[in-house]
Amino acid sequence: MIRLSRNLKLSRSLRNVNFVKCYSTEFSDQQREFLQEYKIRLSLERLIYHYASQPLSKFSMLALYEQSRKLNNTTILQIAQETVESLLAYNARRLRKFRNLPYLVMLNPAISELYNMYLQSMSILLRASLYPPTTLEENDRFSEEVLSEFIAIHADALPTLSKGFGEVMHLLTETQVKQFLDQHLSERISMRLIAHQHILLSNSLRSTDFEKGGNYNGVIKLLNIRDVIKKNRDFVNDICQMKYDQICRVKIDTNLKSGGFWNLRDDFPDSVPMTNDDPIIFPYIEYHLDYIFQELFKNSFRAHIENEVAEPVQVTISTSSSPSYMELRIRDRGKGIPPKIVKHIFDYSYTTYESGEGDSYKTLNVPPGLGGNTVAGMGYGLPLLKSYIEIFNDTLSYDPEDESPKMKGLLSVQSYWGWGTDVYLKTVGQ
Amino acid sequence: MTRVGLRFTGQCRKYSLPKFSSPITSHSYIDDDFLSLVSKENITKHIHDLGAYPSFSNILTPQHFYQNEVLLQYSQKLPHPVSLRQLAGYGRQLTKQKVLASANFVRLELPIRLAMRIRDLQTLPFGVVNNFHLAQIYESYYHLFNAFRKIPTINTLGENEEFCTVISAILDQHVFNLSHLMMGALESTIFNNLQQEDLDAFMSSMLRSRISRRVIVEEHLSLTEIHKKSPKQENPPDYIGEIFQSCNAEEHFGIVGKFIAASMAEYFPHPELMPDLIIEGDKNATFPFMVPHLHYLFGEILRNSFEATIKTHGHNKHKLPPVKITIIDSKKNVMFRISDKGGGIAHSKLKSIWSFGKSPELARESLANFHRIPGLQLYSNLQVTSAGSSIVETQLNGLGLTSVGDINKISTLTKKSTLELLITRPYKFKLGLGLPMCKVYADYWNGDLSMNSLEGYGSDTCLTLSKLGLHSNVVQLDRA
Repeated sequence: MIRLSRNLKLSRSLRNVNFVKCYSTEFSDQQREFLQEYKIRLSLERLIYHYASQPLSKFSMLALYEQSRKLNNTTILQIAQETVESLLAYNARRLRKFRNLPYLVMLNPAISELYNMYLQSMSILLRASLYPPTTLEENDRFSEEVLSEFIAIHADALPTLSKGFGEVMHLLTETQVKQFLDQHLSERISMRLIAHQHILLSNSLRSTDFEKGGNYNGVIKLLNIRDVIKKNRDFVNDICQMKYDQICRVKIDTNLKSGGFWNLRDDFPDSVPMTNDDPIIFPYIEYHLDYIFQELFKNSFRAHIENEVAEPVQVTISTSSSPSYMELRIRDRGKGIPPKIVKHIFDYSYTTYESGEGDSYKTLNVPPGLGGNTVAGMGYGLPLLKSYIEIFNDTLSYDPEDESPKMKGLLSVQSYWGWGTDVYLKTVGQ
Repeated sequence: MTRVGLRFTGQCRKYSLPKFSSPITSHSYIDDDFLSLVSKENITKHIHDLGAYPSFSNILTPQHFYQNEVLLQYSQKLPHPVSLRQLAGYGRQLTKQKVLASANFVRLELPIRLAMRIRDLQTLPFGVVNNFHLAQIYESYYHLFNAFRKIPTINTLGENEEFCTVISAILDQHVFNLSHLMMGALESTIFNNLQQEDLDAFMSSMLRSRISRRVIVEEHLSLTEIHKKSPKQENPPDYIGEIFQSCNAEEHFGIVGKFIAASMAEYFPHPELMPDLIIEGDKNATFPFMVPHLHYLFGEILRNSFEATIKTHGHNKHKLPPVKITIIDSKKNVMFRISDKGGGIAHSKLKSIWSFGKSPELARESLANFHRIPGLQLYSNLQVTSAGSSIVETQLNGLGLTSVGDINKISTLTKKSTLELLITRPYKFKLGLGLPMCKVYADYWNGDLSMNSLEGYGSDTCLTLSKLGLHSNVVQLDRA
């Protein structure tokens, strides 16, 4: 009886056709059991290999907007399938990268735990891929169960990552560590982005805010940057209050004219300077901005408090609509970063926070989501920040007709040792 | 178990329907259905089998990483290079001091050499070592490493007796490592997760180390026995130990030839037509060698020659052309030329026959055959204490010091050997690793193995074996 496999074309290319003569030997139970296990293991590895070889779908800003504009009750189902396939490709890739690490490194319990998280999420995704949603209810269930669980599994990975790599550093070269972590963190951001996008799109469909054909049904929303800054200022001050019994103030400065974006033509007739309450509107992904502000505020606030600087931290904002970008400068008076440290601030260091330490460059690194009094420094803050900002850099449209300057997300740090530090950020809107 | 239908393909070679409904059909190794719904659902349940801590292992646990600090220190130490003569006992007579010195040498050397190989395994990619076979090897080596570390200094002959029982038991316990090493190599070829050069380098160093360690242990066991039986024995200056027997090449070719011919009976059921062995040259050449190794070398070479001959001429119903062996004896070594008329090998393939990495298809076939070898032990039963240290089960456990475990009976001649199992395997279990393995063995004893071929006509295999004992001070076991 001939059974055609589902993906005939695919199977053919993978097929190795060497039939082995079967002999009527007797097998012990042990051999049977062993061979059964062997077959399963072989299939698993092949499956992972198959998905890891798929090209990664890089989510560009444009693509995110597209999805939002095209959103309706039918396209959401298509998007669901694409989401699962994308996540499977990313997840399988992570598994393969882990499996390429030296054996002893993987025997480390923390690294093994991370790897197991990816095994776990792979299994959930595989099952989900067998039953793609065909109705809106199924899609909602898919969002709530599969995607939310996916995010939950990987939510607390950062402290484990930090602990693990701290313990295995001596077994790897510096380049190996940097390469692995860079890829790992940036793919992690991508995966969470893909999952969040689908969840938010699904939520939009159900809610009254849904704007058919609109740009902001997904992860990208029109944000009031002033509110975002205030929210994160308060969040970080909460930690500072707990630890230092002090808070730090933030002053927001902008050259924007009320009611619109800054544009290159300065001859706007009725332009009025902004007040402290006027909203500063820019479309972006809120939780990315949250992380960015939290990290930078942690650094600056701590520097101010520990050096007993009373002045506020200054945040200067400049946005543009076309081309669409937002530039930020966060300026503190926290005495700056010592010169020999400056070139290492983007390295994955393993500093552990020690109380009583006065160095302004060390951070109150608390993983996002965990508040309270945890002050263990992970040394991952700045490199991760860089990943968040550069995440869309590889996917800018390179249309040869388009002559507008190609803009990338950027992060740079300028320190004035003895005085303070300025951090420059540019995030790309579209 | 339901029978899976045969997959249609354009390149189907030969197949046969299974005679009995065995769960191990030919399809066990062709699993293109891993993308199907049913298969995905099934195997997803087992995904955690790919984790770092397999359920069958007592050693691979989360604490292992931290306990490994000890091994890292050991791997910094250098192994002590040694020659055969040293192992066999310097000078004309064995004394008690020599026996004890030998015992302590074994006790100290082996963990160092093991540590180096374990480090090799630890630096390979996880995906390579995480397969069942190499994980067994890792576990086995680690168990061994821990077991040796526990042994205190040996100061009396009585302690030496105990030591010999332990190391003998260890040798027995770990005899199946060779098969797992070979299966591991095949699997990693199938999954293609290691470069060919890296695989070859890894396999060579593991095999060499294995030979070293076993020779060191067997020499000591033999030494102990001789000291007991004939302590006054006077040894000639080129003495290298009892484990090396004086071998007459012609005789051994004869023995091995018969083995191989018998093993091919099922494949070619015409014993009267099988090729003869014609031996010419220095037929009386005699040299000291380890018999299992010699048989393995001769066996694999003859097997290849016979197989090629049968393939090329088997369809005629005539007597197959003979295999001609020329023996050239000289002071320093003895050379063998084994010529067959088996159709030769293409020159493009000639270079890659020495590699452990085969094409994935061939590897798959070989692995399937490996799994079918009857009597092949697949699981170890390595025991550990609650603290994780190794327990070595010796025959005397539970039986007290009865005569059942009489140390005199533990002779090197009756030691279990995987090599023997492999030599006598029926032909149908073609493993495809014969030549690379032989090369390692020949190379180890400062010999050589090479092959020349006349494409379309036949091949000539050239085996060179050094005369051991001649330069018995030459350091031969320096490669750990």
